[in-house]
Amino acid sequence: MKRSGNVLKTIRGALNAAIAWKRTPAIVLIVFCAFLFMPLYWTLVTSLKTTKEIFSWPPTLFPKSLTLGHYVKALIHSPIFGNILNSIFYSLTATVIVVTVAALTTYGFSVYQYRGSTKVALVFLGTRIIPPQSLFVPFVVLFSKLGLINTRPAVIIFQFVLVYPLSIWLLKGIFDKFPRELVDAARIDGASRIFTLLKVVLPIVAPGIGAVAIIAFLWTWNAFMFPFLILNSPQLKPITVGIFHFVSDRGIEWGPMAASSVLAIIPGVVFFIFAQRSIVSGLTLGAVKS
Amino acid sequence: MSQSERMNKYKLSDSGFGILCTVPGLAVLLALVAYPIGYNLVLSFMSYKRLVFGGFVGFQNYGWFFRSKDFYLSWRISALYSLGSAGLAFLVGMILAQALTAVRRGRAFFRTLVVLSWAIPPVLSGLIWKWILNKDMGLMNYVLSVFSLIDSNVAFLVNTNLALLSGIVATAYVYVPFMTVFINAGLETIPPEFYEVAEMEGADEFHKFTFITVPLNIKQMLFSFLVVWMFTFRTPDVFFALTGGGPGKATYHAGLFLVNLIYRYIDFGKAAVVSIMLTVSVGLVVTPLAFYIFRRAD
Repeated sequence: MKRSGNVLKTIRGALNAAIAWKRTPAIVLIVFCAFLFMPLYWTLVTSLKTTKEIFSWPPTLFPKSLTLGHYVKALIHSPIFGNILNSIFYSLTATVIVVTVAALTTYGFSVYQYRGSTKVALVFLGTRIIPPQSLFVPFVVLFSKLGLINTRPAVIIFQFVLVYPLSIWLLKGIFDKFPRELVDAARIDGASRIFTLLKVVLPIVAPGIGAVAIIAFLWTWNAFMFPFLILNSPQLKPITVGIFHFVSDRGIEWGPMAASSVLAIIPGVVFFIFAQRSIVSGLTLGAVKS
Repeated sequence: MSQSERMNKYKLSDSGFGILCTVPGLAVLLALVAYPIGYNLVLSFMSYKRLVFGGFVGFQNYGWFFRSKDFYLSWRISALYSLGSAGLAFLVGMILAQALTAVRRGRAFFRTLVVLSWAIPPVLSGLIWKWILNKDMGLMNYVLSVFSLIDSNVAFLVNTNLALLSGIVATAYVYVPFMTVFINAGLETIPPEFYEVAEMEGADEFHKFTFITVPLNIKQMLFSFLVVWMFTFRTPDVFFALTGGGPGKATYHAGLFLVNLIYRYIDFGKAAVVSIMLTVSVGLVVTPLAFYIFRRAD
């Protein structure tokens, strides 16, 4: 009995020493980051290999010869280029609409409080307890009655329903922190409330709104199932749906698929490399501050 | 009544402006949510198959749902999958968040590497992992064979249990950044003095973790776990790309069950019931926990 207690104590001591060692965090990070980075690297490398090399065993970690053939095939001989433009169009349009409307809404209830205004954000957020999947059926039926199946507005309307409440939740954290005195000063000087928003509030909260806009953009960019259900024409599909062009009964064309994946992931990667700090603070503000 | 008094009468009060800003957006949103939800409820009592409207059928669709084997199967798979994905992402996120707060050099670099997989849409993660886990040309089989962990190549996506596990890995992969970022944000609000005092009192790493890190960070931990659980319970994107629900129905996620009814069987009455049950299931779990988390916050 006593012995096993000693063994446990030794193990605990050893683990403690391992955790407390000053190099442990760096080693843990290097190992995990290697794992997390591997799929991205593998996709990139696959997209640059020749078809013959892709289908050879053992797989080569470093490509023997590089080719841009899969990119040519994806961009010129398939609808993928149009799909990417569609993704950009859907994401930009949804983001501009959502962030403009959400900023005005949040400015209203956060700065000019009324009875119950502190609970409004929760009402907006509450609509998101309903899974988007549960809205598929009614939206498909209603859109078909309105003639919106296989159209661009259908994608954007659905995305608005999903992203608008979340953007309000994120913006609330930003507007709630805004110094009230600045608004009061502008109002006393005779500025209208809209003028105050445009010339006093927005310039100061712009970085935060930019972060929310990036998040909204990526949310729309990642959307898959609803566009898949309502879009038939290849020329309307976003990249997440269009990429299945390379999946058929005869198998998957891994080369062009990998090339298209790389292209589909680039916007997100670029945003995360250059605006990671503001994206992270934009996301965590509402959840952490209290 | 003077001119200025008349002007004042029509001038909007501050709270009036606040309400004016809120109401239109809220009205549009509720119309876009409440009307479809109501419509869905009505549909669930109808026969509406292959775009042929068959009138009201009472609780027939609900009866079908609760007798359907697919319901129990897909709900069980969704539960296993969502708990597995959220659990795995949570575990890795927790380790990474701790390491990120503790690391001395290159924090910004590691932070960027950690969040990169966030850029991958879940459906693409399914496709990418399908390639990595490929039996004949896949990276995973290669790595395992290099370390002599397997004798012959493993068909990950053909084995019932491995297919589900593969889905969990492909999903956790895209949610690790979210978990890390949220837990890390919570960790950074804990004053370092707490740990210093604890150390002086002779606390070891385990004490520090269980008595400082977890209790002071519980809200972020619960929140991020709950969000990922909710996302993964309802979203079948990864399996759509990775396994298509197979082998057999081993990865027949509740979301795939629903999508199949809409897309393949075009049976909107039954699909309506499945979507209502999906909402009810998620709501029953999330609502009380969300209230608990928000109450704790105040």
